[in-house]
Amino acid sequence: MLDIPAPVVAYIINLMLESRSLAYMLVSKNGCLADWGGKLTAYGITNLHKGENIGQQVFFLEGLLPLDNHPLFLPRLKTDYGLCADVHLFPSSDGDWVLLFDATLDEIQLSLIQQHANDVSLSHEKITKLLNQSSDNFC
Amino acid sequence: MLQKKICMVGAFATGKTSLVARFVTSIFSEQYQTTVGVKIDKKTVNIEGKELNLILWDLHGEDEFQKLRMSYLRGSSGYLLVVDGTRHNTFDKALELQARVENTLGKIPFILVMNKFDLTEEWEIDVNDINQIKAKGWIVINTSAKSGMGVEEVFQTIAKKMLEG
Repeated sequence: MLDIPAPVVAYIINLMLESRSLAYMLVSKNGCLADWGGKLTAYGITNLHKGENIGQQVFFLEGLLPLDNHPLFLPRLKTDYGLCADVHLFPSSDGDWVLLFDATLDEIQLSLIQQHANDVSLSHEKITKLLNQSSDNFC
Repeated sequence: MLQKKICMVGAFATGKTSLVARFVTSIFSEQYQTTVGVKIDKKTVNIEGKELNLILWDLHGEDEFQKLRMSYLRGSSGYLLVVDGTRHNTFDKALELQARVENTLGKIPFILVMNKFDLTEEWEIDVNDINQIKAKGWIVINTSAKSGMGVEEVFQTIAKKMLEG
């Protein structure tokens, strides 16, 4: 593992907390919430109860946990209740960790590009269809 | 309460987001807005007297730039393969995606959803194609997110299948 000086680690953590609204949850292997912290309210996650089933409290985690010893990455996950999030899940001896990072900017930028690409593709499909129809009529 | 995760899968611009919006909020928008990543909604349904929370994962449509991310599928109890009936390439894409999803999740309930059925004059999917699919035991349902036709039936059917499964 990289030997990163403590001030650098502290700086990165602060950066994550401030600019990407870091939030976390720890879920025991029996699916119950064990611990949590960070800016969970930014993602619409409130009113958590220790020891209760995570899927009943955070609906988008339904079915995802427990992990089978492999990390999982779910980019740009949105609900109606909070920020668009990059969600990282990884296992540990204490349970499965769920990390959330604000992905709003990433989502906005990608949306613009993807929307344009899809609009162009749809226009291209329409033109091809019209050309095929007119060549059929001509024949 | 019992909860089940359902994924909406298909090519881009087939109406996955519109189907979810119609089902959850009874709203339809004519404006096409692409999905980036995944949008998650929930709705409680009553299946033969049993309350069931459906957790709906509306996945971004697949195209040449954005491939379907299999990590989104984890924990799904069922999925809807959505086709735009006015674009034959989305039917081919649905067949391709079904094979990939089944490879990842195994055999779980799914429905082939033939969306945009309000545009039958532009329909590109041959009846023989559908009959061949049905002969394989697939469930096929025609829908229109615009009019609401078939939307409730799709979600009720997949919910029942998941409870049976």
